[in-house]
Amino acid sequence: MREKKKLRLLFGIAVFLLCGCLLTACSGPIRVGEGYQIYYTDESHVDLLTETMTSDAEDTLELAREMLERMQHPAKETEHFSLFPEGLTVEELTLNEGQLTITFNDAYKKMDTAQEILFRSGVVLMVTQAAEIRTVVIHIGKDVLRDSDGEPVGAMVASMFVKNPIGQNSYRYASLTLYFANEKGDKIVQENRNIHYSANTTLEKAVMEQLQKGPSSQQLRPVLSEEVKLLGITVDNKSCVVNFDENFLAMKLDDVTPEATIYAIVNCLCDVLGVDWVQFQVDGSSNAVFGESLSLAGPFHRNADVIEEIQEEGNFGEPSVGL
Amino acid sequence: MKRIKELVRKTGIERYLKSLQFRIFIIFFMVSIIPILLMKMSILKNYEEQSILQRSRMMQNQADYLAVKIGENCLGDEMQLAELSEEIEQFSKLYDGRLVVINTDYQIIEDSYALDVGKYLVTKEAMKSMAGQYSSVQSSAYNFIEMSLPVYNKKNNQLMGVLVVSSQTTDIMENRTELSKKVFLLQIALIAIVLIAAFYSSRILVRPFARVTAALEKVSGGFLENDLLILDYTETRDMSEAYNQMLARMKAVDDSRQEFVSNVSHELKTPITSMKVLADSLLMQPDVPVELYQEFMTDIAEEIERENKIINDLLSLVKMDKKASDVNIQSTNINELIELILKRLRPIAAKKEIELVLDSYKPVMAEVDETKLTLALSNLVENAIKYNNDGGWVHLSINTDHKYFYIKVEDNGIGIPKEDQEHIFERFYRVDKSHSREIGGTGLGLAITRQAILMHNGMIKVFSEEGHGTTFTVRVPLVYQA
Repeated sequence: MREKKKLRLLFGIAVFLLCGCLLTACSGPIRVGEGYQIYYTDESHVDLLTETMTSDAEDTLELAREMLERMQHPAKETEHFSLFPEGLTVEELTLNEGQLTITFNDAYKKMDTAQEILFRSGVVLMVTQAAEIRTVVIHIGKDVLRDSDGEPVGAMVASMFVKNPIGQNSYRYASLTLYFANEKGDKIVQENRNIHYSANTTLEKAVMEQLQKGPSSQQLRPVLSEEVKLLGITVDNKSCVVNFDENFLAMKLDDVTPEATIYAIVNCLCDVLGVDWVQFQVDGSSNAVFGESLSLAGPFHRNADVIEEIQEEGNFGEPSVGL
Repeated sequence: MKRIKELVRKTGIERYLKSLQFRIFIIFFMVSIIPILLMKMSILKNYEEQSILQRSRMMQNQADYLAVKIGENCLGDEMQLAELSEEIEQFSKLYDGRLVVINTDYQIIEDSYALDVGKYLVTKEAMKSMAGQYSSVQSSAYNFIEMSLPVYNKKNNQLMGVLVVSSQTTDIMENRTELSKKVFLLQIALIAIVLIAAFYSSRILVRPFARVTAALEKVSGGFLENDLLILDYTETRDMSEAYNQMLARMKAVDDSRQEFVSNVSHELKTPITSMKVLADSLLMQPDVPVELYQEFMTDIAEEIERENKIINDLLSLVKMDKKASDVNIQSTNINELIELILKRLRPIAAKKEIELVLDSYKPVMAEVDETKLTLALSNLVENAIKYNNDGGWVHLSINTDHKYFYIKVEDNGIGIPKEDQEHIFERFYRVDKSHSREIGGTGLGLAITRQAILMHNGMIKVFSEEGHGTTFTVRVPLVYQA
C-alpha cells in the first residue's frame, strides 16, 4: 500500500511540473507570465505607484494600447489615481523598429511641469516593459513634445527617469589613473579621475566607460571613439581580456598612433586593475591588425616609454577641508 | 525515566528545585534579566536615532547654506554651479553621500557622482520640493537619509530648481554593530553578576528558616529549655511564637495528663484504702461480734460500689475522648429524654424534698446521641440536687431557635465560688474536698458532661453565686455536624 501511495505522489508531482512547463511555454510573443506594472499616482500627485496587470495581448501595439487604457482606470480607487489629466486622449499609436510613438491631443499642454513630468515618466517606464519597445517618442497633435526652452525632447528610454531616491542604489567609489593621447598623438599622458559607479557594474567596465568618455583636459585627446562598442571584458588574476566590436578597427583618430591608443588602454588597465598583461580581441578573435601596423595577437604589457610626463594644473587639486 | 528520577532525588537536585531559595533565586534573576535585555535594545535604538538625527541636522544646515549659495550664483535664468563645484564635492565627501541639483524641468544638471546628468528626477521628494517644501526621507532598508529643498534666485526669489542631498548611513550601522558587540559583552558580565548576586542573596534570605528547622530538630527529644526566638522576619517571629505557644499547650496537656494519672490513682486508691482499713481492723481483733462484721462488710461493700462507679465514669470519659468514633446520632425527642431523666431522679430529689420542675415551650427534635446526652444532663440535674439545700428547687427549661436547642438547669443551692468556677469542668476537681465526700460522687461528673456536650459541637456555660444558686446553660446544634 505504501508503495502505491509513493507512486501516486510522484505521478502527481510529475503532472504538476508538466502543467507548469506547458503554461509557461504557451505565452505570447511578448513576455512570460509575470505581468506588467501600470503606473498611477497618489492623492497629492507626487508619487509613482503601481498595479500589476496581466495581458493576453499577442501584439505589442495592442499591449501598449491596453496599458495606456488601464492607466486611466486604477483598481484601488481610493489609493491610486490616474496620471492622465482631464480630457487627455491618445490620438495615435505607432511602433517602428522598437520605437513607440504616442500622439496625444492638445489637452497635454494643459498639464503643469510637475504633472507632465510625472505623467511622462509613468508612460515611458510602463510601455518599455514590453520587450519590443525600447524607446518612446511623444507627439502632441502635429508637433513633437518640447521642453521649456522649446527644444524637442526626443526619444526617451526608461533609464532616463530616476524614480528612486538618489541614495537608494549603492555606488562604489574608485580613484582611477587614465591615459589619453597628448596633443601630438604620439605619447600618452596620465589623467587621474575619481568616480562613483553603480554597484551593479564592475570596476573594469566602469574604467572602460571613463576611457571612452574621453579626457576632461582640453589638451589631451581621446583614444576610443564613441562608435566602438565594448563586447566584453574579463579579468583573471594577472591578465585581462578586452573584446571590442569591429568599429574598434575602423576607428578614425586623427594623428593618434596605434601604439598610443593601445598602450593608453593597456597601461590604464594595468594600473587600475593590477593585471600584468592585456589581451585584445575584436569580435572574439585576436587575429587582427590594428591601425595597419600593430598586430593584436601578442599580450601587451605595461609600457612606460610611451608615457609623457606633463605637469597638469587643476587636475590634481586636493579639496581643502571644511566648506 | 525512573533512573533519572532516582538520580535526581539522590543528588538533592529535586530538593533544591522545590525550595524557596531556588524560587527566590529565579525571581531575582528574572526580574533583573528583563532590564538587562531591554537595555541593549534601547541603547542601540537610541544611538541609531541620535546619530541619524544629528547627521540630518548637520546635513540640513549645510544644504540650506548650499541652496542659498546656489541662489546667489544665478546668472539670468541659469544656476551657475561650476563656481561651487569644490564646495559641492566637499559636501558630498563630508557626508559620504550624493548631491544632485535639478532645474525646474526636473532635469538633473549637477550630480556629484557624475552619473545621471541629463536624466529626469521624478521622486516624490523632488516634486514636493519643487512645490516649495522641504522634504526628507530615511531608509533603514537601504541605509541612507535624503533631503531635498527648493533653490531660489536671490535676486528675484524665483524658483530655480531643487537641491537633493543624500548620505549613506552604513557607517552609523557599522558603529551600531560595534556598539552592539560591546553592549553584548556588558550584558554577559551583568548577567553573570546578577546570577551570583541572586544565588547568594537567595541563600542568605532563607537562612532564618533553616535556623527554625535546626531549632525544632533539637526539640524532638524533649522540650526546649528556652523559647524559640528567631526574630529575623515577621514570618519567622510568628512561627516562633506559634511554636512556643504550641509547646506551652503541649506542656500543659502533658502536665494535666500527669496530674490526671496521679488523680486517678489517688481516687482509685481511696476506696481501697478504706477497704483495707476496715478489713485490717476486722482481722486484727480476735473476737469480733458478727454485728460488727456485718457493719464493716456493709461499709466495704459501699466502698466497692464507689470504686465501681469511679471506674465506670473513667471509662465513659475515656470513651468520649475519642472524637466522633462511637457516636450514635439519631433524631431524638429532647423533651421525652429529659422527662425520663427527671423520672429517674425524682426519688432522690424527693428525699431532700427538692422540687423538680421542667418548663418546655415546645417539643424539640434534634440529632443527638441519646446515651451521651442523657449522661450529660443527668449529671447536671444530679449536681443540682446534690449541691442543694433541703427544700430547694431545681428548674429545667428547654428552648430552641432554628439552629440550636438550649437547656437551662437552675438551682438555688449552695452555689460555686468565683475562683472555682473556671475549674469545675476539670477532672476530679472538687470545690470543697472535705464536703464532697459526704455528698458523694467521683469528681468526674462535670468533666463527662462537658465532653459529651463538646462531642455534639455544643457549648456549656455556668453562672453561679455562692449561697444563692447555680445555673448551667447548655446549647446544642439541632443538626449534628461531625
